[in-house]
Amino acid sequence: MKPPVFWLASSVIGCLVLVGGFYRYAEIQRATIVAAIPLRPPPTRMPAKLFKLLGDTETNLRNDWRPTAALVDLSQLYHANGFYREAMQCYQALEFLEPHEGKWLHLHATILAGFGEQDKALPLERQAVALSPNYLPAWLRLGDILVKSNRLSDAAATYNAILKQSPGHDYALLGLAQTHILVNDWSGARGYLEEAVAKHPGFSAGWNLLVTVYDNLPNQTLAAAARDRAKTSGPTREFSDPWIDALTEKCYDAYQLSVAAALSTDHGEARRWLERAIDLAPDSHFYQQQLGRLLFASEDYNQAQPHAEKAVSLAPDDSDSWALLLEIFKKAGNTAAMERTLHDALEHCPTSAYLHFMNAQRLRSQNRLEAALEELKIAKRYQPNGARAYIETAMILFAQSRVDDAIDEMKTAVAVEPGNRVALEVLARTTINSADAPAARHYIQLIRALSDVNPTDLAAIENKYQRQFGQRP
Amino acid sequence: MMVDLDRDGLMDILACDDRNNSVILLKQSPRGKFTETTLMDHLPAPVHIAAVDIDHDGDLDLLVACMGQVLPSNEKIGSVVILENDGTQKFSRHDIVTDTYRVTDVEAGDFNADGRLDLAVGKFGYDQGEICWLENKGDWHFESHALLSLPGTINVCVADMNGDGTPDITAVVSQQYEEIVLFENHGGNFTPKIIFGSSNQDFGSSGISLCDLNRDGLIDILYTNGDGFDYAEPGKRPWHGVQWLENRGAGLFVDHRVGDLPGAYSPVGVDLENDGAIDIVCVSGFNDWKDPEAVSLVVFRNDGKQNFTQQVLAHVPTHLVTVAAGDLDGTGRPGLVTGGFHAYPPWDHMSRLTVWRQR
Repeated sequence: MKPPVFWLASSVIGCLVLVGGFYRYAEIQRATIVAAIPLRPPPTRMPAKLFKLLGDTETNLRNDWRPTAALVDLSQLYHANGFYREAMQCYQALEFLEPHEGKWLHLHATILAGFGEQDKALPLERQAVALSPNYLPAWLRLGDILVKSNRLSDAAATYNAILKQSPGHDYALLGLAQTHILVNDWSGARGYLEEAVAKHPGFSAGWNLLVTVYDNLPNQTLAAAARDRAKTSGPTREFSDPWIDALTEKCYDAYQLSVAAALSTDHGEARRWLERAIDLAPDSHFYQQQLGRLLFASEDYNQAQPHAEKAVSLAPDDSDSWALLLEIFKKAGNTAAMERTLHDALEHCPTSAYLHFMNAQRLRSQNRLEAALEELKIAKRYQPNGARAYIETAMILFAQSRVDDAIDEMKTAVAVEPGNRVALEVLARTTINSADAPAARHYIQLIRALSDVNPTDLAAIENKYQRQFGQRP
Repeated sequence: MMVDLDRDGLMDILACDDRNNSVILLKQSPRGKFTETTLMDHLPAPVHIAAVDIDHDGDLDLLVACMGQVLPSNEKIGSVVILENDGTQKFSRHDIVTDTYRVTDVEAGDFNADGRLDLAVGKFGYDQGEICWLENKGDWHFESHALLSLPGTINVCVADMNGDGTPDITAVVSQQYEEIVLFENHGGNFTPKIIFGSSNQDFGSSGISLCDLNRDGLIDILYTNGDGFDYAEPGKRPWHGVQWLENRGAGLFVDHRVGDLPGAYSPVGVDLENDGAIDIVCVSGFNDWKDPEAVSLVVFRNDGKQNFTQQVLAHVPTHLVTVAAGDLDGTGRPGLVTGGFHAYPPWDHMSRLTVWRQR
């Protein structure tokens, strides 16, 4: 039996070997990480706060006992703020240091695919899904890369793999539909899209593509209904990718924050991003205006007003900011402020069609019809392709019993905006009144094809037609 | 665009005036003096013209893409209009397609080899859109054939890209697709193929043009991504830039980044220095215009081996979305014409059309 001192000595030596090995490993790791530190771009290319944060993170990287965590921070700061070459350099090192982590491969591939370098992105994303098979956004990105590489059957297999994990997945079904659309298989695409919108009724991207599919089948009735659903489903959004979305926390780019805010369905989060954008770009009226609009949309007019006022003071020649401020006063019923603001707005933005239109509405409400018509002439000159001013002109002309002139204005409104329901309905009614049956039928047909047709209004027009002509249109 | 419309040996300038809904001619006569006339008005938001003898009567007719309105709309307000030249630069109008998705480009090519020039049409639309070709049936009648039913097309270009002797169609599709698609022509039947695609839905594809950049006998694609008109603040994005897609033959393309350029628009291949190497001229439509160093007109100089060095040509006027190159002065040294699109502030360096001559 060996004496205890032997075991003690062996343990000490073993520990020293282990510590030495760990130290050696840590040194190799640190050397790898230090070598991976990208050259920091000059301070002129970024906000001062970001430049300092990058510097602090580099210092941590050199001195911290956990340099990998600091490298992760550095990669995220670069990626989140649009320094893609630097971010990819960090990801390459992370891929070496953590070869079993799919996240770095996915983030790296996402940058490459964003620049259209699908051949380089493909092997990385394949590896990412192999390492992180439960992370569906990586599968979706892989499918997209394969579609853009013309490998449609591989893409379809990828989307089907997602459906195995998550039956009825909206974006996987959308991807499958796209692989069919690209070979003009409209019936095949239809099945996937109908399944997607049945399971996810607010899936805007699905409804929009269904419009195209129905148009091509062709089935105009279903297309009109799908168009209607697409309109009410809000903007088309890309699939959510939590690993990418988390980067917003590290973002010091005001524009990216405004995009994140625009895409966010969380009011509080959107507001937080915009407040940070304003903090970063205090001289930009755009973010003030965007925050004002966000608050206006949630009917928080008191909170919206100072942001609209700030936007106007920062960019007095921006008519959109004035328009927002006017809308706030209108909602608040503050006529005096509206009058005063409209005067200032037109002084700063004399070529804004919308502001002239608003002024015309104001004049019309005061029964100053000729002055309103003059304002509408200006609005039409500056925006000849918008229906609004023609319709407003027609309404005034009707009030002045200048029916033929009014009808001409309505016809112009329809010419510039063929799906304008108000103009079509007025034209249908006036042609019925003037006993012009073919013209009335024409307009009724156009109304029926509208996606936003109001069934009650349509029925009223059809009844009016029947009363006038003794038969259904 | 630059074209000798009346074939008097002097280069004229044709432009779309969206605000006035007209197509205008700046006729050069005598050399160096331009006189503006309106060739046609009451065109709904014209955005692109091509000059071609569509009726084979020996003069140049004009193909006009009309969006209906430039600002986003899903309404079917677009149209394709041909302005028929009577030989004396007086034009009569033929509305070939109306009440369709917003049309952004029209180009001519005899796709079915019947001796008549057909049309390739890009319809941006908005949520829906289309690329199609219009078969010329004669007597100003055209039959539409859909090629791709997706929104966002900015340009369609016509040339034999795969060397089989038939004209193919190359299109750039933006919106959420951000792809360049080659439609290989087999006697009027087209096979689509994605030859470039970005997964960044905000990549901002803004234009393509064709030229044999590396002079290997195959037509390459110049491509800009610089559209910054989304969400809140219009402006530059870190990924904006210029690419060329090298044609390796048989429908194979390899993309090369030429350089970064905020708000890059309207790539044009032109040998600016007459050194035998084709340079790439671009403009910027979306930049940080409050910064006096923000560039609006640049050339990427080609060393002859497709290594490019950016040279700034101008910082003002700002908000430029189109540039054309040609021998304006008859000196053999190309000049440039740029066009501005001022839809957002600042408004202090505005321009409509600007002629640039080499010193």
